[in-house]
Order: sequence, then structure tokens, then C-alpha cells
Amino acid sequence: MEELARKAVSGDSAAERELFEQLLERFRYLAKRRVGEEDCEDLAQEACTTVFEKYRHQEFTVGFLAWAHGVLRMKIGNYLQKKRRMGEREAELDEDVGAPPHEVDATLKRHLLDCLRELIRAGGYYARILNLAHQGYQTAEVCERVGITANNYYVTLSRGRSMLRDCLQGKGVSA
Amino acid sequence: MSTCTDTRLGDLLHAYELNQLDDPQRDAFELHLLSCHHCFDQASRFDATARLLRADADVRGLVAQAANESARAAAPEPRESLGSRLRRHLWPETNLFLRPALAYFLILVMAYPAYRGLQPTPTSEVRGVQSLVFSGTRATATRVADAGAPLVVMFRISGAREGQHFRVVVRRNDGTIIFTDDHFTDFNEREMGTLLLGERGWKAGRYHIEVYTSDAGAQLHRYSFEAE
Repeated sequence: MEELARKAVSGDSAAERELFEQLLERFRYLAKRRVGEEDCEDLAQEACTTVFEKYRHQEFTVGFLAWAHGVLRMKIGNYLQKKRRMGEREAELDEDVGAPPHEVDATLKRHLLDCLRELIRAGGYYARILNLAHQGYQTAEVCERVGITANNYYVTLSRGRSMLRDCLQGKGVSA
Repeated sequence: MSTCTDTRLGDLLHAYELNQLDDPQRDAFELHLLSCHHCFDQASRFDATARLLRADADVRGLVAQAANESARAAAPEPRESLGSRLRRHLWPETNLFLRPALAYFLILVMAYPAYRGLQPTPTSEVRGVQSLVFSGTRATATRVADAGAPLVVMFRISGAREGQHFRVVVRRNDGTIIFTDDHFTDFNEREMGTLLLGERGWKAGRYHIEVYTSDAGAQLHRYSFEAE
């Protein structure tokens, strides 16, 4: 995307279109992770608009993507601050817990539960780590409680994710 | 198929999906997602699954149950006291006659006599009993005895009967009395008396056996022998 940004700044309209298509898609994903599904589209579009308005005249000391990411973070920060002031939400993030119920893919859920059972039967720390994460423990605390290093923690999560993904794909689910 | 442009950051993908990164890590990973097609594609396709993993009540319940069972299985057994362990090994919950401690006890009881029988013989020297026989006709004859060995002396007293009392004295040549029996009655029907002197630490030298009548104290016979 840095290359696309360079081309867009130099006047390549095709590169600019592709750049902002990709940027909007990513901003939408990141915003959804931060604020939930309800307002993520508005935030992503607002951040993209700001980037689009300013990127031609901006000096990217840390690169285009870092700057664009900073814009999105600022927009998210303002949004969350406004929400807090309004008392609608007490804390940032966790768009899932306490958020309006979103549509759940029942098939995906059934397969995921089956795959989780297989993963649990296979042993390992994944279920324990996930359980601690559900309880709000952060990485360092989880590592301390489980007795593993941070590297092992990330590796365990990655392996668990790969097993789940492979299991779901084996059941015909795109994951 | 694309690959991750920075696997060090790419390894954080699932931690990010589970909200397990601190702020600097999260910012770094999000910046990585903006530039890495591979990771963004992975994250996008797994998004619905990650959402279920994070927050679905059934998923949480399943994981919590598994984690609790795992923690129980991994928990160390309460430390058992030495006495308890010994008792459990010796007296397991089995039929009375199958309990090892009872078996050990019975084996010991039965094996002890055999064990004692197999014990080596004490190394102290066993010396043979020696005997001296004096007839009445050769009352003054000298015999040779092995010093230190048990000694049985048989002597004849003419006219002696079973149950008749005599006084017997054994003394060294210097007159020291080393044995006396005022009621010696051990005579057989052939007028032979048997005197058991045993181990008396015989020193080499000459000894005398004197036989007296029990009532008047008159000496009837004197037998002498040499111990070497």
C-alpha cells in the first residue's frame, strides 16, 4: 500500500482508487474491532475522507500507512470519548459484550463448537488460555497463571487457531 | 497465495483477535494489518469465528468447562503423609487374607525357625567330654586328663548301693578343694559311682578324688589323676 500511496500522490488516479478501496476495507475491519458493528462504517468512511483530503499535502515522516492509521485511531478515540461522555459505554472496545445482539451464523457456531471439542480433546493450553482471556486476563497474567512464556503463548494461540480453521474448513466452512 | 510480510507480528494475529494485546502491540499489529495482505485476508475470513470465540455464551461455557477439568486434572494430589502411604501399601483395601502386611507377618512367623536353623554354629570351641574310670582295686592309680575339658569320673566303691550317701571331695595336690558333695548317691547296681565334674577350668596339675562315708566321715577311697 505504501507503493500505491506513492503512485497516488504522484497523480496516478487508478492507484489512488485502489488505495482507498483497500484502505476503506481495512479501516472498516479495524473500526469494527474497536467500536463494534453499529458505527464502524461511519468511522471508517470518516477516517478515509480525512486521509483522502490531506494525503496529497502531507509529509509522511513515518510513512503513509502509519499516518493513515493515526488518523483512524484519532477518529476512534474521539468517538469513544464522545460515547463515554454520553454515558453510553463505560469502556473502550469489546464490541461484543453488552453490544446489541448481532446475527449469529448458527451453522458456523455449531461447527465451531464441534471443532473446539476436538481441540480440547487433543489437549494443550488453548482452551485454558481462551478461558482466561474470557475472564479478562491479559497476556502477561495468562502466561503467569499457565506457566508459559509470552512466545509460547502466542505460538499456542496460533496453533489453536490453525487447528480450528482447518477443522472448520474440513466441515465446509470458510474460515 | 500471499505470505506474511513480518511473521514476528503475524504471530500476534490470534491474540489480536482475542483482544489480548496491550496498546503498543495492538497499534503495531493494526499497522501490520494495513500493509500485510496475508494477515488481513486471514483476519477478515476468520472474523465471524473470532467473534464467536470472544463472546459467544456457549463457546465460553464449553471452554470454561474444559479449562476447569484440565485444571483439576493438573492439580497436584494432596501430599500424603508417610504413615498414610505406608499404611495404604501395607493394608490396601482388599480381602483380609490378601493384605500384604498379614502375608509378611505370616511369612516371618513361619520362616523364623528355619532362619534360626540356618544360623551358623557359634564359633566357640566344643571340646569333647572326657571320662576317667577307677576301679576299686586300683584306687591309687594315676590317670591323665585334658585340662579344661568336661570331666566325668566313674569310680567303684565296694558295697555301695543305690541311694546310699557318701561324701565326695575333689582337691588339688596343694590341698585346695575345688568340688565337694556331701550327699553323693549316684551309684548304680554294679557299685559304680558317676561324678560329673564338668568344666571347672582344670589347670594342669595333680588332683585327688576322695570318697568318705557320710556318717563317720572316714575316707574310703582316694583316686588321683593328672591334668595336662
